[in-house]
Amino acid sequence: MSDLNGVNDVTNENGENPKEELGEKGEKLSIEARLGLVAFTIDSEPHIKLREEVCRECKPRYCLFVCPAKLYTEENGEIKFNYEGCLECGTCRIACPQELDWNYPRGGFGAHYQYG
Amino acid sequence: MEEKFDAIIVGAGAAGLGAAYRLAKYGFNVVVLERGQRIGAKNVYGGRIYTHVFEKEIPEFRKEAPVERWVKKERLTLMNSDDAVTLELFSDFSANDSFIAILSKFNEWLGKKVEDAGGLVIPGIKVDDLIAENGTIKGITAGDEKLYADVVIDAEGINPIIAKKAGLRDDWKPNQVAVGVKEVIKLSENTVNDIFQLNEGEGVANLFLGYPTNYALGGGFLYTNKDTISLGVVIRIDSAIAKRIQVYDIIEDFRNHPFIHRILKEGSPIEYSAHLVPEEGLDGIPRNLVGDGILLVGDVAGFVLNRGLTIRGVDLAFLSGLLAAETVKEAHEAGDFSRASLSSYEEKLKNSIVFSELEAFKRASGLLGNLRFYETYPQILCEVLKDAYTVGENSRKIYPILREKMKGRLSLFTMIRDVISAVRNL
Repeated sequence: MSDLNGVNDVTNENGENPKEELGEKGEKLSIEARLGLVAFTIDSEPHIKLREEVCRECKPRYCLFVCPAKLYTEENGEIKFNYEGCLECGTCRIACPQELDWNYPRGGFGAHYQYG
Repeated sequence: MEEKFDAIIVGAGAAGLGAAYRLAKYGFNVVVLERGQRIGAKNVYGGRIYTHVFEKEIPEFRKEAPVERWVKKERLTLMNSDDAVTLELFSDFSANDSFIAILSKFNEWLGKKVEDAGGLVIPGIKVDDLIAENGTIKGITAGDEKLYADVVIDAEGINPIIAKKAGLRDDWKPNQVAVGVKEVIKLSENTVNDIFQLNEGEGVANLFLGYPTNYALGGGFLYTNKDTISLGVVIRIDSAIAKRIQVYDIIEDFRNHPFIHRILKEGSPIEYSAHLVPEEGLDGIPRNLVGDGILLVGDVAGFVLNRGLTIRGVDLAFLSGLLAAETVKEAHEAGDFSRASLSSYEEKLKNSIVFSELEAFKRASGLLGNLRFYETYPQILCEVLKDAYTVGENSRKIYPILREKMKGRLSLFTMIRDVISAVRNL
């Protein structure tokens, strides 16, 4: 596969530097901090694509709260999606009342779990 | 590379590697294509594997498999926001029939067994589509590459991208699958032993109901690895939608529950992950598990059994892979890879524990859809026991406490009916 150059360049090595200790009760780790624990190789192309006009009309917008990585957000009434940090579970596709253009990242890209 | 294989296997999970292992042993020219950068990179599950199928198939299993700990204590905990009631079975479990493992590492080991047996496993390749000629599957495409084989074994996992293209199954509905999130927390081996009162190599499997899912349908889990803890929450997607659960933060609330916090406060989180789980048992299995030139194995076929107290999938996946391999061998001998020829796979499944176990608990998934088990019972039980153990000037007997807590939430008749139903079906 010729287009897989750079597959070994894991862009996120934070998995090697875990947060020191969990500390006192009530201290929640933000989703950003937790995604920082996952090793990713980010592809240049998104593997999940939203159709703006469909999302704009969507009332339920379940994606905003079911995505375990909180990658769907609302800005000025529009749904924004960041494919970087995708945990590749498929929850958004199942929950979405529309047809979501969902796929896995290309081979070798995306999350690299070590303790899955 | 217009090479032709005896079999192409999509996905190096337990199902795909089971099929590959057996086919390689038969001497078949087999290739497993895995989209992860390495074997195991995309695999996520709770934490426990049942041994029997692996032990039968792989003679060196006990000596070699990357076991974190053998399960010695089984726990079920019902939780409300402050308290927890735990039922524990301690047994010597001397048969050692289940163990805790990291699935990424376990599959990596299985991959090595496949390679030792002469099979080829190639990571970093995602299968995009099937090649069909006159309705018969002849191979796969991955990017610009095409690969041909007598048969394709679809072990792609829970998201049915390829199986949908083959017309073998529809996508899952929100009431058929759950989303699981997991945090792995680093402690030391001694700390794990001390906290859970375990000897070396012994482990705890703890399931939770109630608070961990914010009383939605599903549960929490905790498994003791050697020097880490796997802590997770699994919620059926329709229930997460109905209760508007913020799935991305649910694990943090669970981890900060006083019962969990006191266990893990000295630990450091080292990984966060998410994955889907089939929840429907027998009803989630597609009508046709084979087509012309293709078979479905593992999660994509829905082979997961949730009976409330235990959840198993990895062993059923592996076994379905073995049965698919047996079928492919027979089809090879007959020179016929048509749907009719491959349909003996469905017979083999029906005569195996994959179907007998799913059949035995076929009413479990309906029962487990009863919200009272997640919402009402954990809360009432915690409240009743707390009152019963509280000594004061107006101490009361259990029955009046129970009736007070049930008032407006649960009738005696409903409770008795639920208990009978649970005992009969789980």
